[in-house]
Amino acid sequence: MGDPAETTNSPGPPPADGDIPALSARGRTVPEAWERSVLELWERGARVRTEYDREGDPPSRDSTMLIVVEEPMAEPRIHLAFPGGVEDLEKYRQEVLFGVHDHWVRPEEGKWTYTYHQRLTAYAPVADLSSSKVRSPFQPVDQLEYIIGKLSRSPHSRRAQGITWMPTADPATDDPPCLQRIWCRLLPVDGPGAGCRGPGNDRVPGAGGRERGAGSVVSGPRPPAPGTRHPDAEYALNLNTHWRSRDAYKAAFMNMYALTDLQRWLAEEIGRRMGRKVAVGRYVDISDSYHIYGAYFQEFNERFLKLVRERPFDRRVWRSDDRRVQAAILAGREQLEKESARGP
Amino acid sequence: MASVLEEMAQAVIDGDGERVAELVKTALSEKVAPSRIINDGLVAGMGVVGERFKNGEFFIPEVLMSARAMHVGMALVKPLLGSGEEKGRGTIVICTVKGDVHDIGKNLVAMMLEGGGFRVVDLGTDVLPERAVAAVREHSAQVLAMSSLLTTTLARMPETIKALEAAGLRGRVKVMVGGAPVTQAFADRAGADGYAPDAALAVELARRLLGL
Repeated sequence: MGDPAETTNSPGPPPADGDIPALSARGRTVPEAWERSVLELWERGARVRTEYDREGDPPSRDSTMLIVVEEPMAEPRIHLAFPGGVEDLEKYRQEVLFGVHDHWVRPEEGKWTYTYHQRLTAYAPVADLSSSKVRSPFQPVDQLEYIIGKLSRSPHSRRAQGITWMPTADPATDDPPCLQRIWCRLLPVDGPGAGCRGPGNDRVPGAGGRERGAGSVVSGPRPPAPGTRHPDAEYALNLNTHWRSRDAYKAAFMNMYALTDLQRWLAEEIGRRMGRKVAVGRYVDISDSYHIYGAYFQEFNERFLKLVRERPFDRRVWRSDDRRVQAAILAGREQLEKESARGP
Repeated sequence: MASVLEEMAQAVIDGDGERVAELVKTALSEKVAPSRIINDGLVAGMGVVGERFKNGEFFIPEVLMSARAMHVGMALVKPLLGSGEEKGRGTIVICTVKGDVHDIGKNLVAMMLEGGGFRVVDLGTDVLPERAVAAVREHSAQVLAMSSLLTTTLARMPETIKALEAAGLRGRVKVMVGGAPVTQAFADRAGADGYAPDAALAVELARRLLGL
């Protein structure tokens, strides 16, 4: 298992030349890639004041970030630096995949103006989001159904995408969506013999060092050879997610955990309709503003960075099939059932 | 060799609810008093977790996993407690305010308070001032803890404090507030007795407010 902390390289803060640093990070698993992205941001992000910084807070760290997860469903799946319990992670996963909190979209009560599930499965632009009773002139579009249908009929398509942003109404709200767009593409998988598997490619993906070509900021281990990761599949579903703005430290891991599970679900659904085996391909996550708020710096230093220094990577993560984790996932599901029984 | 209570405390620290349940059953079969199981096994383990969290040695999910394990043990022991044994260090009513359904921080604080030996009455999310007031009265709570993640719901905090005053309860209940947009200055303006920026400090604040 690659330890992201061992593959970071701190050249110090960039000069304030007005450019937003464009950074990237790569990892075999979700927690590995996420942790590496946060460390990269911490070391090389710009120092920027935001409207959310409170008096006395240091300037936030900010960058544009591209994260590549080579094997999104590989274990370990869970990084321990997220602000909740495994129950909350399961509830959030179901919020994104199945819309278990769509009933909280009630802006007239000061609650939410959207969920990602609601925007992706029932997109219908309105002129005003101050009340959920304002009707759209358009029929709701189930964009996930569109993606599944499009790719199962036309596996070569580059149009399989879904959006969340409503330019008619989101700019006026206090908390507009961070996720803007998801884009999916199928690529055929050649058999293991088609790749360049050889002695040099047999090492564990993610265990190696960092590539840094001239002018490149790509960090992380060398990707595995093509044709070696999905030996039984005919296609791999690639997912790109595009984020306007992102709390890198407190939100991005949970987002990535849920979105990669959405990728798994989409791959299964597309495969079922095609009657073919569709594997989960690489996941790419692009944020325009990927930031750590100045208000978090003390905790970030005194907990996250301290534990990155003091614990090996395998003690900063949990496998999702860990007995304790499984029990907590079941507890999260029971909590959702109780929520559902209580009604909105 | 570690005693069953020491092993139980370690199982809580490890977040291993299954092991905690086994050890609680063992302790009960060995005629260990339920109050000792709670105080010297379950709460002792959670006390270590709280200390490690405060020192930046534990991540939040680990604290919550430990709290789950403690709850597994508590569920087995609480029905065996005699009347009057359950009060612990005091009763705290906790909730997120009306309009706010974000409960992760509130849940963490609730579990840390329980681990600190308090009896916690968790009203959940989206709680109207009158419901909070009714719960304080019904449970004779010494502390009301309110959380808000949204700036749009912050105003519900002073409203709830005013509702406590109107009900004649303000003099006998301390009010503590927290949540991402909350600051000490806001807490002062709202008329709260205290503000805690995180869960570990919330336990210290509750102790301080109750003179423990």
